[in-house]
Amino acid sequence: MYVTSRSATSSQHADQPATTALRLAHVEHHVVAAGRPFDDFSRGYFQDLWQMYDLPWEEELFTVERNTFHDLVASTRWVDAPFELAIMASTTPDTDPVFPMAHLAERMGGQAFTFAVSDQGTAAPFTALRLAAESILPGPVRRALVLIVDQKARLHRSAVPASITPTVDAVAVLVLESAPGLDRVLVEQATNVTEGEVASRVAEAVSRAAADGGRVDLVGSAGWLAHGGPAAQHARHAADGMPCTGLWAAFAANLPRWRTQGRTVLLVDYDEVLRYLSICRVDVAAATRLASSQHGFGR
Amino acid sequence: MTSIAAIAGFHPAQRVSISDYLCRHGVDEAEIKVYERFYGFSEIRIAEGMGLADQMLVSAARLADLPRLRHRIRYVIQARTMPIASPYPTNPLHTVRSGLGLEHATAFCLNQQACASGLLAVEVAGRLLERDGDPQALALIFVGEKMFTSSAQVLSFTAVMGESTAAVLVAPGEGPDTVLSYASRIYGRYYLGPRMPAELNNQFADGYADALAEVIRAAVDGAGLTIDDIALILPHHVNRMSWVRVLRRLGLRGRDRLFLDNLASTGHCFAADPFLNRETAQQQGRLRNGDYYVMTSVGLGATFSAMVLAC
Repeated sequence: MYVTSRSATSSQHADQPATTALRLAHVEHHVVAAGRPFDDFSRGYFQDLWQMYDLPWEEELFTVERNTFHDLVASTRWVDAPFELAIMASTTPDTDPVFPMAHLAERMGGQAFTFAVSDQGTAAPFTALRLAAESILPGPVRRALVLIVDQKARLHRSAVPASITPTVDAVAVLVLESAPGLDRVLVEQATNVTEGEVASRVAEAVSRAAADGGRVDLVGSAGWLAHGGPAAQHARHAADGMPCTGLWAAFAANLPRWRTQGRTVLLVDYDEVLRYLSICRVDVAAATRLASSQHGFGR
Repeated sequence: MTSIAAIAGFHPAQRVSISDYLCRHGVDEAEIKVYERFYGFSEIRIAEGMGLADQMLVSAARLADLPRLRHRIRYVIQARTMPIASPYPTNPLHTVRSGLGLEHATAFCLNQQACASGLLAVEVAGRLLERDGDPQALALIFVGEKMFTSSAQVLSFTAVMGESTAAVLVAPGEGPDTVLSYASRIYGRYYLGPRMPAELNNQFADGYADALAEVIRAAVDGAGLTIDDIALILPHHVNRMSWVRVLRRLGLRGRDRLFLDNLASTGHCFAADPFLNRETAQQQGRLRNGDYYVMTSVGLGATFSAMVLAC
């Protein structure tokens, strides 16, 4: 059970450091193939929803096989691990009206606190990561799981901007732990950022990170590349078609190389529709430093 | 600490009798009588012709100080019951953010705890504001939704849904309604919600009162209080009979400390019930300065939550 007490509530702010409390212990990303068909309940649910929004019902769009959020969550190897907190984030809604995060809580032994962040475009994963990494929620959270999902099913033919259209079913898994020596994570989000402001704001973030010493690498989303351009020499970009998980796919792919000497990495996303600029700074610990730290979960 | 600075409820003008409503949904006369006589439902409000964004905007407009406080609102959070509420990328929450001139605020939806998401939103908003460290900052939370599909219209042998909504302002620090504790437990074996097989439905019904009483007790303990210190329980609106079992498990005799005044006239309004009840209790003078009260919510999935606040 998740419980806050009067004493914990009042002392929460004083007890918590200004820096992040949980650190990144593991990142993985995978694309999920196959899927399963819609059942009658889901089909009826979407028919009612489409009717409320005056969308035409096109039965053939609901004859495809898709991966639900439940399928995507279940596809990871972390579903039975002992986490105290798990947060899911997505830009698209699910294609099945159930509660996969409640199911995850059960799989984790019934004591995990789980919920989801959505309806924030591609900024949602950053919000979820902030909530988990900054230990904003009180209690003895030593291990938290952030699940970021992309789901490709197109359920209507109305236009969706390419930058926020998933073309694969994919899940990124971020494991956070309180053990020292792991990769520090810091999330910044800015609202109402115009396209013209993106490049300068990212450059400022790069300067701030560089001021702490060491090389700064960037991983940028399609939205950032379109409006911000490479603000650092060492920029990589997320693959198209994975608006939420793509950044973390690129991060996971490059992590072994960054790990050799340690690196500061900025993951940058600009949601051009909702105008959120999200930046996640990860201080990747060098392998030698990491080896000497005390941790044993997730790697 | 976190406090609720203001609540503004919106009860749509159109009233529909439970009898007519359930009859249209094919519920037979005998069962309708159960909903009326034993569960306590009489009518619901329906926001005919209004979309979700319209309901949220009207709720916010009823916050008297919103124009003056607009610049202080840092977060706009929709606490949503329905797993899917709009066709992608339609985004009622951000329509509301723009409509209220709150583009400077970070807006997102909290979900997967269904009707318990409202109390979760208070908890998360309070923590974010506290962490940000600006004592003037506020969060605006929206609760209540559209009953657009069968699973959002009638919860079989539990509740009839309604479309009343509320806008809630949350502030960091102590205030008129300070959060003292929050307890929440998820029973994920019920994650299929309305699609649960009968056997699981029966298990859920059997364990419901114990699970709800458990989180209420945990929240009361967390607040450093006893159940005798609680002046009022502001419940979510499920059938009145279930509350008899919960009160018995809490050791409370009678229903004088359970606020059921809205249940008959609003139905179960997703995550909005305890907030609408707080507003009505205030209007009726049922809570005084120094009183402690409990808000409760149970969300499909199933999440049981309780929050203790001090007036």
